[in-house]
Amino acid sequence: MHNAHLPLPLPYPLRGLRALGDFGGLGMGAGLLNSLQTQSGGCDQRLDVDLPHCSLTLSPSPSPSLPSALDLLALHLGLLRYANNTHYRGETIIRKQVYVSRAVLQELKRILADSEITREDGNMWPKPERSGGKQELDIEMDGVRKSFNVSVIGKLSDVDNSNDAEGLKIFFYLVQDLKAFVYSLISMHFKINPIPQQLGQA
Amino acid sequence: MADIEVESSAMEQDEYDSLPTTSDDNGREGGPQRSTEGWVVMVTGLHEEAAKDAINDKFSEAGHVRKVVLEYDRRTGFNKGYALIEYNEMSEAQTAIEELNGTSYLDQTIGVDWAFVRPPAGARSSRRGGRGDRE
Repeated sequence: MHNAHLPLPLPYPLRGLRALGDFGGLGMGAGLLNSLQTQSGGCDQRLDVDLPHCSLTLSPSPSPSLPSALDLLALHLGLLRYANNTHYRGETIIRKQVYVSRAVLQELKRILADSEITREDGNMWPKPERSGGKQELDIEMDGVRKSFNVSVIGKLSDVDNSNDAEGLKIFFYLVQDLKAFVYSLISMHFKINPIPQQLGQA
Repeated sequence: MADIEVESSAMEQDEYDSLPTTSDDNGREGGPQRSTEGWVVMVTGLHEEAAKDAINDKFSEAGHVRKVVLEYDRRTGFNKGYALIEYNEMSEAQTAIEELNGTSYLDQTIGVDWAFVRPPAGARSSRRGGRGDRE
């Protein structure tokens, strides 16, 4: 298999990853998996199909005072990618990637599992307005895939006032935990400060 | 102000920065990857009340700790159970892994392993090498 645009083992397009434009990366992932399956040994990073895949796309509500910005966090086949797409005051676009270890992937899986987010369906949660901001979370683990597309949540009281407040609260906190997880890794590895968005900050 | 769709397609054309791999280890694919200023280990299974200072002290047994990152559960206020520890030297990080992985700390078994790894075999290397310092 040499085509960079292989159909992936994953049954659905990870829209967060596609927004990152990672066709090469996705193709690389599939080719990578293939090459590791044929390897007899000698590589510490054996990839199992039970590793989590996760992408989180955060875009704020457009407003004159809040500049257009986009946080994209994606983890696929061990490759962690962070992109912050802001033009605020001439800030440059940040795009970083690093391969993380199994230990990191297993910790991500634990965070996702502990949140029990896969038990939620999110149907009652506020949908993004057409021209508004959004939070989009795509997860696949243990054969379960979930996709959540939610409007921006300004503060915790917005959660309490919504339908399915308990479920939305799980999502609200998980997004914060995932952001913290990714920002820690990226800032530690690259010695940059990812610009935290206004979204979902309690 | 560009709308999000335009931003997304602009991003599709670009590569992502990564740090160049160094020759610190035997160049093994999938082996540990150096970070910008040192070597980072991932600690998991931490007791929820473990404090940063205590973690710093514990991991100073293996070498000089440059930095500790300890995140907190936004809902409970306890730590999230993981930490990132940075050492100057690969040997110090290696020592932390060998001596502390799987041991008991504050009545819980902790895991200690590399946080970042070199691109595994078959991975295409990035065209943009990034701004990583070798030393």
